[in-house]
Amino acid sequence: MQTTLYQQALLSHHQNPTGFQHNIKPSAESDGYNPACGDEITVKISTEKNTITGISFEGESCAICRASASIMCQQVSSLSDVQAKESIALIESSFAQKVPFAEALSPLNGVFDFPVRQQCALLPWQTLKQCLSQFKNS
Amino acid sequence: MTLSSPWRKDFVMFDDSHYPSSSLPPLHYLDSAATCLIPEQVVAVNQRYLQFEHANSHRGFYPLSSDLTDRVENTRQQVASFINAPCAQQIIFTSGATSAIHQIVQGYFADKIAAKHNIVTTVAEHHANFVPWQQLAQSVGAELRIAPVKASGEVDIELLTELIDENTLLLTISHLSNVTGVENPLEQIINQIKSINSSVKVVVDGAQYIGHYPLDVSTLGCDFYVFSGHKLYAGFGVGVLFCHQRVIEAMSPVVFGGGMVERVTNNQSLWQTGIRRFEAGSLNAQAIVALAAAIEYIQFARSNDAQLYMSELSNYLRQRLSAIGFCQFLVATDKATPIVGFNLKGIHSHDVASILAEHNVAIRAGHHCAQPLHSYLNKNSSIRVSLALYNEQQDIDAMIDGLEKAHTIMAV
Ligand SMILES: Cc1ncc(COP(=O)(O)O)c(C=O)c1O
Repeated sequence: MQTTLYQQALLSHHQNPTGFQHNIKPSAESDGYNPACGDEITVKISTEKNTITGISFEGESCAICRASASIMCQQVSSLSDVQAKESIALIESSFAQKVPFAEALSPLNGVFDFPVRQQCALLPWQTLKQCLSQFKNS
Repeated sequence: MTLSSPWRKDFVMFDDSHYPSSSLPPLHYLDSAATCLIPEQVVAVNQRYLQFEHANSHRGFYPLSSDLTDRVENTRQQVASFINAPCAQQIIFTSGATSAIHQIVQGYFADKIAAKHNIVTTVAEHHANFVPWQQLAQSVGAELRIAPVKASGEVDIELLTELIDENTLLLTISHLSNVTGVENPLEQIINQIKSINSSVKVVVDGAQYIGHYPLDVSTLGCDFYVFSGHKLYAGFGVGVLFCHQRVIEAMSPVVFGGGMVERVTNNQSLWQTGIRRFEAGSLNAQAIVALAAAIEYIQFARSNDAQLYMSELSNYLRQRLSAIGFCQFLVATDKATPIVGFNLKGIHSHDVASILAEHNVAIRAGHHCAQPLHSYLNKNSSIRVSLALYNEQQDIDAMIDGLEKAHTIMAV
């Protein structure tokens, strides 16, 4: 059983998320909050020489946010901070301009038809962005 | 026997023949705590108003305006009778419950509060009845005291009364929670509060109560009572602030402008003596005549056993929810009211709402403008189902089907 929004690929991430409560030694962490629905997420990263070596997320959030966070964990681990920031910018601009995602990000395509849920999908990425800026400062 | 509503036919939104090209399934509207749909009787009054009766009330000498003035003033009287207020001069028209509370905060309490005072409220208030008091208290360094609720969702009267002392300026409390649907026993609470300190003023947020139960502000003994027309089938644009005679003289206007003054010179202004001094600017007469029609509608429904019907429907809702094993009610009460708050085990409320939305079942998910209550209950959000006269068994059945589907798809 699936719905327009909750495609099977998205549900799989929701049910078996990558990076959920992973035990890592974080070098930076950030909290994200979506006031519209109360999604709360904490993203933690460990880094070595500007490269993300570990990433984990936790918190009480909806399936869209969880699935998006899971996809993010798959996508950015072992990227450099610059590459990770590029990925985040790509996600943000794709949502803003309604450009469908390809491949690994495609489970998020169902969200395009539900503008009120886009913020749920964006939250993990925006939280990672905060996390990366913190890590750069330190 | 299935529960079907004799009032549903009055709401054409449920008539699918009006949406010939829609691909959506039939509407199941279960979000009346956000706003009630509008019956044809009220729509007709609105339309007649727009076509033939629109004018600026309280202004013109010509019949169009003076007739409208009469209607506004008759509505004031009608509202007074509807809530058993002693007199129409205790009814102020506002734009809604939020602006009515603002009038109380700024017009009555702002010049009476000092740092030594405390304001008592409950953790279960809507932000509209929480934030203004928090801000008022902070503006002078006064204390905001917040009473908890019991597991049943009712305010804990024992703990509430312990918060009242000689420096308590007011208690502000909702009559019916917009999140849990639980009613506070206000008569008892007000009696107890006033027996501890008779000068404590009591403000009641009746936004959710007014559409469901008959109200008698005289028996209640409160000083202020507020509600919005749109939760009473009237549509947006009008709210009501009832003030007890003992507070009305000591209240100042908050908004200044036309209609509320008696005399203006270059150096000073003299307010009207009556209630109109609180109604600056052109009145929203359209919304006020709609309110009159909505009250008539609701009174007619109540004379035809609407109360009994709503209590049967509320019982049915609670029974069906209780029977699904994965429903977790926000509070443990077995008193069924037309509003119920809950979560589904292992599923975020927004996912539930989205799945129901795909079936055109309208419910509310989130914190419902009541973050302090959600934090207190240790929840980051919840689902709210709320009923009105047009709902029937099929709406609840469609919603339960949706919940079961959500559980099958999503539960982790
Ligand atoms: C309990 C309660 N108080 C106050 C309000 C505010 O009403 P309005 O938005 O009409 O001003 C609401 C609206 O949801 C409510 O449920």
